[in-house]
Amino acid sequence: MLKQVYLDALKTREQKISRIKDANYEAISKEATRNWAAYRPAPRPCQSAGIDSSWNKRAFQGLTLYVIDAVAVSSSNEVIASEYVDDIAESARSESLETRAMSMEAQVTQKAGESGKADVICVDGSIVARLNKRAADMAFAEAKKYTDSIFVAKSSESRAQFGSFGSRAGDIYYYNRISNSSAGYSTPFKVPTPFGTIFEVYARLRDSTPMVRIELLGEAGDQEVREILDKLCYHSVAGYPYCLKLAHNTCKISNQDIDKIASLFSLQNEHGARDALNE
Amino acid sequence: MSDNGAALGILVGDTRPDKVYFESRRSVSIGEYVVLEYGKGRVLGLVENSKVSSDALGTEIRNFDEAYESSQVAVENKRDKSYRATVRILGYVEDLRKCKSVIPAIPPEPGINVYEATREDLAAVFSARGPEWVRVGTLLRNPEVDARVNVDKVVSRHLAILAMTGMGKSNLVSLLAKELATIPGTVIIFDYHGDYSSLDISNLNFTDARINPRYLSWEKLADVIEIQDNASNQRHVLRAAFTQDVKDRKDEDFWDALSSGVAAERTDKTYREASNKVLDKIDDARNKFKKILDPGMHEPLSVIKNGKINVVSLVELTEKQANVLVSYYLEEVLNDRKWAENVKKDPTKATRQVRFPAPVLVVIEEAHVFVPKDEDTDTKYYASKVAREGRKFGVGLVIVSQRPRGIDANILSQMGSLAVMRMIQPDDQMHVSAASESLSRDLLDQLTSLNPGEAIFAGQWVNLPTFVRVEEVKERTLGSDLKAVEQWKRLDGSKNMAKESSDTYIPSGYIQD
Repeated sequence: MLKQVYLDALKTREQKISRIKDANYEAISKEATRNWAAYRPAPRPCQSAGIDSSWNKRAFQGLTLYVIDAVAVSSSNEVIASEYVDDIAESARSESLETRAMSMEAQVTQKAGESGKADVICVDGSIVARLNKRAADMAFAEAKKYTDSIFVAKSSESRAQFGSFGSRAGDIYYYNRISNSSAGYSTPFKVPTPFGTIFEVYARLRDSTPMVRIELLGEAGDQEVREILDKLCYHSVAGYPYCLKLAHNTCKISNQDIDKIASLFSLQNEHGARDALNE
Repeated sequence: MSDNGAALGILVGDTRPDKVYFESRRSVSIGEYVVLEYGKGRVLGLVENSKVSSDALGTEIRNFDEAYESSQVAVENKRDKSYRATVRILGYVEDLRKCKSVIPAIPPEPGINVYEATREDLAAVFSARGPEWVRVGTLLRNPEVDARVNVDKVVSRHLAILAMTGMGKSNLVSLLAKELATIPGTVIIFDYHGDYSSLDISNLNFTDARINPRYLSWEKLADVIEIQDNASNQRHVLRAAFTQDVKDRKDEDFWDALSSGVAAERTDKTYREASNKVLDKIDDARNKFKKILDPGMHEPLSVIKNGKINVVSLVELTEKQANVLVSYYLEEVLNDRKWAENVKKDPTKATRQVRFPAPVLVVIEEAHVFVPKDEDTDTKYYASKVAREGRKFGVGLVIVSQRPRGIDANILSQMGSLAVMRMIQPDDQMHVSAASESLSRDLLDQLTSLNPGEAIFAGQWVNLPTFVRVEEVKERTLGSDLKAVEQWKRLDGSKNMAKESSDTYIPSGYIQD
């Protein structure tokens, strides 16, 4: 089966790649170049906090054990706030666990903001992506908890800026191409949402590092963006805020972890839902 | 029960009865001792491996910039560092105080505390008291605790001192000699390089190596007067001439008789040339080795004094001559000690005087030359005999070498105690590891990190494998590296001085410019 996939890839690669670099590519590149500002951030000492969440589950026949957690971790690796839940239910759908994890992230973000221990609070991912999936009233309430934070995503599918040009890839693809691996950022782009105005910025904190997508809540001009980039740069490794890496490491619930918890619940002898496949 | 020292860490990972890992609150030195409490009481452990790792500065770092940025964030991350140590369990503290090592059968549970060993704990184990224990320095990581070794075990079970050049082998031999001189013990040091000529301790007896050629076999005599192994005609001539009648002659008469015997072989045309060559060799031996070869001496062993540190200089000898001499002395000492033990059991058998009524410790420097791995030498034969039988008859052997891989494995494996210093060559480490049960692989891995004067002591002369800082023997001036630049400058200075002083005797204008 996979052999056929390989052969197909070899046969059709030119055609598939040319789909992205189509007639609109030059126009999009010009627009992206116009938006791009070269800027080498000057690290500004500050305290940063990273927010991340994780969930995992182990399905047995007729019941599911799940664990969700969310943490706010400072760049000195201090856990500023945390939330968790573990339970056994008849079912636990991944979408539902994901939504609950997002809610818990909002709570720890709010707590981190209230603690006053961080000058900049970074949340992993995109607020637009997560709140678009929620009901309007809930999204509005949750958005309020993120007032003092920024969102940092390692990748993005957003086509908000170049979708109208007929782009065939996410906006981040084009900024990556035109920026020649240099540090800088794109002009803040206003994204109207039902829960408030959000500005998205694509930025590279240091030369030759991966680009990140940053979402800022409220008004954001050039000066604000530069200040934030200066702060993010202070605690970043390879162009990525280190507090987010610490948050990821702290909250991650591995399969090994869920097995340990299953053992604590004396579920180790239950038949697993995928035992028939020896998985 | 003693109090514990400061809390150092917590056991993590899988534990075994003989080996555990712990996460420490600080970086831990290899060779440090720790105490754990489990089983029937307090248990002593030795840190055999220590590792510091950083979460931010892991092996996944891809370039310098990333390393630099990671180093910045690591400074602020209070949990960035992990201090992980491997501990070899040595036994219950209480048993170790009584020189017994009892390792708990059940492994400790992860999560228990690890404490620093206190001075009292270590002193009780490593600073054993008694006339047989002598001080050789301090514990490497606990300089306030004396390190002592059991001399009785050195004599009865032998010792190997192994290290690269300049790491302190001769210093350790000198230190042992200094301590044994105070007892006073009988020691014979075969000094191949003159390392001990400057030793200035009590009870010393410097002597030049001397042997009576009359007591040698013809083969050994051939070696001593430097007849090559492949010179079969010359060897034939010597064998024919070295008759019992010749052996019975004393002093110069012996050489004359031997020369006459060799000259007589000239009648046979085949051996004429060989006879002439042997005569030349005998003539050389009579002149060049006058001090060493003494056909008039009654008893070669008489140069060795009981209750003294006897330094036998081999400096002027060739390798073959030294080999003949060392093997001869080893054989004679062993035979005398056997005789002494027989007489002790049955005094009526005492038909001749016992030369060594008490045990003798023999030190062979450059052991890879005298007891080599791939060659059969006379010294190797007798050293092997001493290694096997010495325990019964009170002849201890200390072999010293900077090339352990060149030493006969059989002899090395019979050395019950080891002092191993810095050693870089993996071949050397492997050879020592294969020959010794008391040195673990983890301990041997640390040999490259030892500094001069630091050693791992293992085997029967210590209660436990120990990292030791060996005391420097101030009463010894040679042995350190030659200071060539200083000596050249001094020579140049003395030339100028000589010129200036001679100038004063030369009338001005006598030498034209």
